[in-house]
Amino acid sequence: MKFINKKDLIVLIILGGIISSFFIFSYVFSDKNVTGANVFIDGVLYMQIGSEGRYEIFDNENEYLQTVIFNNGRIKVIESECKNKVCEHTGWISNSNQKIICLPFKIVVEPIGGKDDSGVDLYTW
Amino acid sequence: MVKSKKISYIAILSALASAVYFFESFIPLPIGLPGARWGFSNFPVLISAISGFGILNTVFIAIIKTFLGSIFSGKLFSPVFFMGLFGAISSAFLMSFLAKKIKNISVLSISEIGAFFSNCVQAVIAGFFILKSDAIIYYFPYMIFFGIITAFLNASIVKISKRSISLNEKF
Repeated sequence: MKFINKKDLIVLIILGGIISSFFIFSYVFSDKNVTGANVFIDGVLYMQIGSEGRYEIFDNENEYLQTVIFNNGRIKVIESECKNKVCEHTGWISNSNQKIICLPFKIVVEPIGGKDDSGVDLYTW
Repeated sequence: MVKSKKISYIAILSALASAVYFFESFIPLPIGLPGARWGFSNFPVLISAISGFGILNTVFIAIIKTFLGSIFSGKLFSPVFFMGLFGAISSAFLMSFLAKKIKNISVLSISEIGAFFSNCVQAVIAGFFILKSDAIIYYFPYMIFFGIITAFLNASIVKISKRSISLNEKF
Protein backbone atom coordinates (compact mmCIF):
# COMPACT_ATOMS: atom_id res chain seq x y z
CA MET A 1 0.00 0.00 0.00
CA LYS A 2 1.47 3.29 -1.06
CA PHE A 3 2.00 5.68 1.82
CA ILE A 4 2.34 9.01 0.08
CA ASN A 5 1.33 9.75 -3.47
CA LYS A 6 1.93 12.88 -5.49
CA LYS A 7 -1.04 14.95 -4.33
CA ASP A 8 -0.21 14.31 -0.68
CA LEU A 9 3.35 15.38 -1.34
CA ILE A 10 2.11 18.69 -2.72
CA VAL A 11 0.06 19.31 0.43
CA LEU A 12 3.04 18.44 2.62
CA ILE A 13 5.36 20.71 0.65
CA ILE A 14 2.92 23.60 0.94
CA LEU A 15 2.66 23.08 4.70
CA GLY A 16 6.45 22.84 4.95
CA GLY A 17 6.74 26.10 3.06
CA ILE A 18 4.36 27.80 5.47
CA ILE A 19 6.36 26.54 8.45
CA SER A 20 9.70 27.65 7.02
CA SER A 21 8.39 31.09 6.10
CA PHE A 22 7.25 31.59 9.70
CA PHE A 23 10.64 30.43 10.99
CA ILE A 24 12.54 32.71 8.63
CA PHE A 25 10.35 35.63 9.57
CA SER A 26 10.75 35.19 13.30
CA TYR A 27 14.51 34.62 13.27
CA VAL A 28 15.69 37.06 10.65
CA PHE A 29 13.57 40.03 11.65
CA SER A 30 14.42 40.00 15.32
CA ASP A 31 16.46 42.26 17.54
CA LYS A 32 19.14 40.34 19.29
CA ASN A 33 19.77 42.60 22.23
CA VAL A 34 16.99 42.60 24.74
CA THR A 35 16.83 45.73 26.83
CA GLY A 36 13.72 45.13 28.85
CA ALA A 37 10.32 43.57 28.87
CA ASN A 38 6.65 44.45 28.99
CA VAL A 39 4.41 42.27 31.10
CA PHE A 40 0.78 42.07 30.01
CA ILE A 41 -1.98 40.45 32.04
CA ASP A 42 -5.18 39.82 30.04
CA GLY A 43 -4.05 42.24 27.35
CA VAL A 44 -3.43 45.12 29.75
CA LEU A 45 0.09 46.41 30.44
CA TYR A 46 0.96 45.51 34.00
CA MET A 47 4.63 46.25 34.43
CA GLN A 48 7.57 47.52 32.44
CA ILE A 49 10.95 46.02 33.15
CA GLY A 50 13.87 48.21 32.26
CA SER A 51 16.75 47.09 34.39
CA GLU A 52 18.15 43.75 35.38
CA GLY A 53 16.69 42.07 38.39
CA ARG A 54 14.03 39.87 39.75
CA TYR A 55 10.39 40.89 39.48
CA GLU A 56 7.30 39.35 40.98
CA ILE A 57 3.91 39.45 39.35
CA PHE A 58 0.69 39.63 41.33
CA ASP A 59 -2.89 39.64 40.12
CA ASN A 60 -5.77 41.95 41.02
CA GLU A 61 -6.39 40.31 44.38
CA ASN A 62 -2.68 40.59 45.19
CA GLU A 63 -2.13 36.87 44.88
CA TYR A 64 1.29 35.75 43.79
CA LEU A 65 1.40 34.53 40.21
CA GLN A 66 4.94 34.23 38.91
CA THR A 67 8.50 35.60 39.04
CA VAL A 68 10.36 36.98 36.05
CA ILE A 69 14.10 37.64 36.05
CA PHE A 70 16.02 39.75 33.58
CA ASN A 71 19.71 38.95 33.58
CA ASN A 72 22.51 39.33 31.03
CA GLY A 73 20.19 40.45 28.26
CA ARG A 74 17.93 37.42 28.63
CA ILE A 75 14.57 36.92 30.28
CA LYS A 76 13.21 33.89 32.05
CA VAL A 77 10.21 32.96 34.13
CA ILE A 78 11.75 31.37 37.20
CA GLU A 79 8.74 30.36 39.19
CA SER A 80 5.05 30.16 38.46
CA GLU A 81 1.95 28.95 40.24
CA CYS A 82 0.28 27.45 37.18
CA LYS A 83 -0.31 23.74 36.81
CA ASN A 84 1.51 22.83 33.62
CA LYS A 85 4.55 25.11 34.07
CA VAL A 86 4.91 25.62 30.33
CA CYS A 87 6.11 29.15 31.05
CA GLU A 88 8.98 27.79 33.14
CA HIS A 89 9.96 25.24 30.52
CA THR A 90 10.27 27.96 27.90
CA GLY A 91 13.53 28.90 29.54
CA TRP A 92 15.74 31.85 28.65
CA ILE A 93 14.62 33.97 25.75
CA SER A 94 16.93 36.30 23.86
CA ASN A 95 14.96 36.56 20.62
CA SER A 96 12.78 39.64 20.67
CA ASN A 97 10.04 37.87 18.69
CA GLN A 98 9.55 35.16 21.30
CA LYS A 99 7.28 35.96 24.18
CA ILE A 100 6.75 33.87 27.27
CA ILE A 101 3.12 32.90 27.60
CA CYS A 102 1.29 31.58 30.64
CA LEU A 103 -2.15 30.58 29.41
CA PRO A 104 -4.02 29.91 32.70
CA PHE A 105 -3.00 33.29 34.12
CA LYS A 106 -3.13 35.09 30.74
CA ILE A 107 0.33 36.58 31.28
CA VAL A 108 2.49 37.58 28.31
CA VAL A 109 6.12 38.61 28.94
CA GLU A 110 7.21 40.44 25.84
CA PRO A 111 10.89 41.40 25.44
CA ILE A 112 11.73 44.81 24.08
CA GLY A 113 14.52 44.76 21.57
CA GLY A 114 17.11 47.47 21.80
CA LYS A 115 17.77 49.52 18.76
CA ASP A 116 21.26 50.34 17.62
CA ASP A 117 22.14 53.18 19.99
CA SER A 118 25.45 54.37 18.74
CA GLY A 119 24.44 57.92 19.46
CA VAL A 120 24.27 58.92 15.82
CA ASP A 121 20.94 60.15 14.49
CA LEU A 122 21.51 60.41 10.80
CA TYR A 123 23.98 59.16 8.25
CA THR A 124 24.70 61.06 5.10
CA TRP A 125 26.85 59.92 2.30
CA MET B 1 -26.10 1.70 6.50
CA VAL B 2 -28.87 0.79 8.88
CA LYS B 3 -29.64 3.63 11.26
CA SER B 4 -29.10 1.66 14.44
CA LYS B 5 -25.73 0.47 13.19
CA LYS B 6 -24.76 4.06 12.38
CA ILE B 7 -25.80 5.22 15.85
CA SER B 8 -23.75 2.53 17.54
CA TYR B 9 -20.71 3.33 15.37
CA ILE B 10 -20.95 7.00 16.29
CA ALA B 11 -21.23 6.11 19.97
CA ILE B 12 -18.18 3.85 19.81
CA LEU B 13 -16.15 6.49 17.97
CA SER B 14 -17.15 9.15 20.50
CA ALA B 15 -16.16 6.97 23.44
CA LEU B 16 -12.87 6.07 21.78
CA ALA B 17 -12.07 9.71 21.04
CA SER B 18 -12.88 10.75 24.62
CA ALA B 19 -10.62 8.06 26.06
CA VAL B 20 -7.74 8.99 23.74
CA TYR B 21 -8.26 12.67 24.61
CA PHE B 22 -7.91 11.83 28.28
CA PHE B 23 -4.78 9.75 27.89
CA GLU B 24 -2.96 11.97 25.42
CA SER B 25 -2.82 14.75 27.98
CA PHE B 26 -0.27 12.66 29.88
CA ILE B 27 2.16 12.50 26.99
CA PRO B 28 4.39 15.58 27.10
CA LEU B 29 5.50 17.44 24.02
CA PRO B 30 9.26 17.68 23.42
CA ILE B 31 8.99 21.47 23.38
CA GLY B 32 6.86 23.33 25.89
CA LEU B 33 4.21 24.96 23.75
CA PRO B 34 1.40 26.89 25.39
CA GLY B 35 -1.91 25.12 25.10
CA ALA B 36 -0.72 22.42 22.73
CA ARG B 37 -1.35 18.71 22.89
CA TRP B 38 -0.84 15.79 20.54
CA GLY B 39 -3.89 15.42 18.35
CA PHE B 40 -4.30 11.66 18.42
CA SER B 41 -7.92 11.95 19.55
CA ASN B 42 -8.80 13.13 16.05
CA PHE B 43 -8.55 9.75 14.39
CA PRO B 44 -12.14 8.70 15.25
CA VAL B 45 -13.25 12.03 13.79
CA LEU B 46 -11.27 11.18 10.66
CA ILE B 47 -12.89 7.74 10.45
CA SER B 48 -16.30 9.36 10.71
CA ALA B 49 -15.42 11.97 8.10
CA ILE B 50 -14.27 9.50 5.46
CA SER B 51 -17.07 7.01 6.12
CA GLY B 52 -19.73 9.46 5.12
CA PHE B 53 -21.55 9.71 8.43
CA GLY B 54 -22.41 13.31 7.69
CA ILE B 55 -21.06 16.65 8.75
CA LEU B 56 -23.31 16.98 11.80
CA ASN B 57 -22.40 13.58 13.21
CA THR B 58 -18.68 14.21 12.75
CA VAL B 59 -18.92 17.56 14.51
CA PHE B 60 -20.94 15.82 17.22
CA ILE B 61 -18.10 13.36 17.82
CA ALA B 62 -15.63 16.25 18.04
CA ILE B 63 -17.79 18.11 20.59
CA ILE B 64 -18.36 14.98 22.68
CA LYS B 65 -14.68 14.06 22.78
CA THR B 66 -13.69 17.51 24.01
CA PHE B 67 -16.38 17.71 26.67
CA LEU B 68 -16.08 14.17 28.01
CA GLY B 69 -12.30 14.12 27.87
CA SER B 70 -12.09 17.44 29.68
CA ILE B 71 -14.57 16.31 32.34
CA PHE B 72 -12.50 13.18 32.97
CA SER B 73 -9.22 15.06 33.16
CA GLY B 74 -10.65 17.84 35.26
CA LYS B 75 -9.82 20.66 32.86
CA LEU B 76 -13.33 21.68 31.84
CA PHE B 77 -13.59 25.33 30.73
CA SER B 78 -9.86 25.92 30.96
CA PRO B 79 -8.12 27.82 28.12
CA VAL B 80 -6.84 24.56 26.62
CA PHE B 81 -10.43 23.27 26.60
CA PHE B 82 -11.66 26.20 24.53
CA MET B 83 -8.76 25.99 22.12
CA GLY B 84 -9.34 22.27 21.71
CA LEU B 85 -13.10 22.62 21.34
CA PHE B 86 -13.07 25.14 18.52
CA GLY B 87 -10.09 23.52 16.86
CA ALA B 88 -11.78 20.13 16.87
CA ILE B 89 -15.11 21.47 15.63
CA SER B 90 -13.56 23.38 12.75
CA SER B 91 -11.30 20.46 11.87
CA ALA B 92 -14.26 18.02 11.89
CA PHE B 93 -16.30 20.37 9.73
CA LEU B 94 -13.50 20.83 7.21
CA MET B 95 -12.57 17.14 7.06
CA SER B 96 -16.10 15.95 6.34
CA PHE B 97 -16.54 18.75 3.82
CA LEU B 98 -13.34 17.78 2.02
CA ALA B 99 -14.24 14.10 2.02
CA LYS B 100 -17.60 14.81 0.50
CA LYS B 101 -16.88 17.49 -2.07
CA ILE B 102 -13.41 16.78 -3.47
CA LYS B 103 -13.04 13.60 -5.48
CA ASN B 104 -9.97 11.40 -5.27
CA ILE B 105 -8.56 13.01 -2.16
CA SER B 106 -6.56 10.70 0.03
CA VAL B 107 -6.90 10.13 3.75
CA LEU B 108 -3.48 11.67 4.43
CA SER B 109 -4.37 14.96 2.73
CA ILE B 110 -7.68 15.22 4.60
CA SER B 111 -5.89 14.57 7.88
CA GLU B 112 -3.09 17.07 7.21
CA ILE B 113 -5.38 19.87 6.05
CA GLY B 114 -7.69 19.26 9.00
CA ALA B 115 -4.77 19.41 11.44
CA PHE B 116 -3.45 22.63 9.90
CA PHE B 117 -6.87 24.25 10.08
CA SER B 118 -7.32 23.11 13.67
CA ASN B 119 -3.97 24.68 14.62
CA CYS B 120 -4.94 27.94 12.89
CA VAL B 121 -8.21 28.14 14.81
CA GLN B 122 -6.44 27.28 18.08
CA ALA B 123 -3.89 30.03 17.51
CA VAL B 124 -6.64 32.55 16.76
CA ILE B 125 -8.58 31.57 19.89
CA ALA B 126 -5.45 31.76 22.04
CA GLY B 127 -4.31 35.05 20.55
CA PHE B 128 -7.58 36.93 20.21
CA PHE B 129 -9.73 35.76 23.06
CA ILE B 130 -7.55 34.37 25.80
CA LEU B 131 -4.30 36.32 25.74
CA LYS B 132 -5.42 39.32 23.69
CA SER B 133 -1.95 39.57 22.16
CA ASP B 134 -0.09 38.25 19.12
CA ALA B 135 2.40 36.40 21.25
CA ILE B 136 1.29 33.00 19.98
CA ILE B 137 2.64 33.69 16.47
CA TYR B 138 6.16 32.68 17.46
CA TYR B 139 4.92 29.25 18.54
CA PHE B 140 2.63 28.75 15.54
CA PRO B 141 5.15 26.94 13.27
CA TYR B 142 5.97 24.54 16.10
CA MET B 143 2.26 23.81 16.55
CA ILE B 144 1.87 23.10 12.83
CA PHE B 145 4.94 20.87 12.91
CA PHE B 146 3.55 18.64 15.65
CA GLY B 147 0.15 18.74 13.98
CA ILE B 148 1.67 17.36 10.77
CA ILE B 149 3.34 14.50 12.63
CA THR B 150 0.13 13.62 14.46
CA ALA B 151 -1.92 13.87 11.27
CA PHE B 152 0.41 11.46 9.52
CA LEU B 153 0.06 8.98 12.38
CA ASN B 154 -3.72 9.41 12.47
CA ALA B 155 -3.98 8.74 8.75
CA SER B 156 -1.77 5.67 9.10
CA ILE B 157 -3.94 4.34 11.93
CA VAL B 158 -7.08 4.88 9.87
CA LYS B 159 -5.60 3.26 6.78
CA ILE B 160 -4.41 0.21 8.67
CA SER B 161 -7.66 -0.28 10.57
CA LYS B 162 -9.79 0.34 7.49
CA ARG B 163 -9.25 -3.24 6.44
CA SER B 164 -11.02 -4.59 9.50
CA ILE B 165 -13.80 -2.02 9.65
CA SER B 166 -16.50 -2.56 7.05
CA LEU B 167 -17.79 0.97 6.66
CA ASN B 168 -18.88 2.93 3.60
CA GLU B 169 -16.95 1.61 0.64
CA LYS B 170 -15.95 5.01 -0.68
CA PHE B 171 -12.31 4.73 0.33
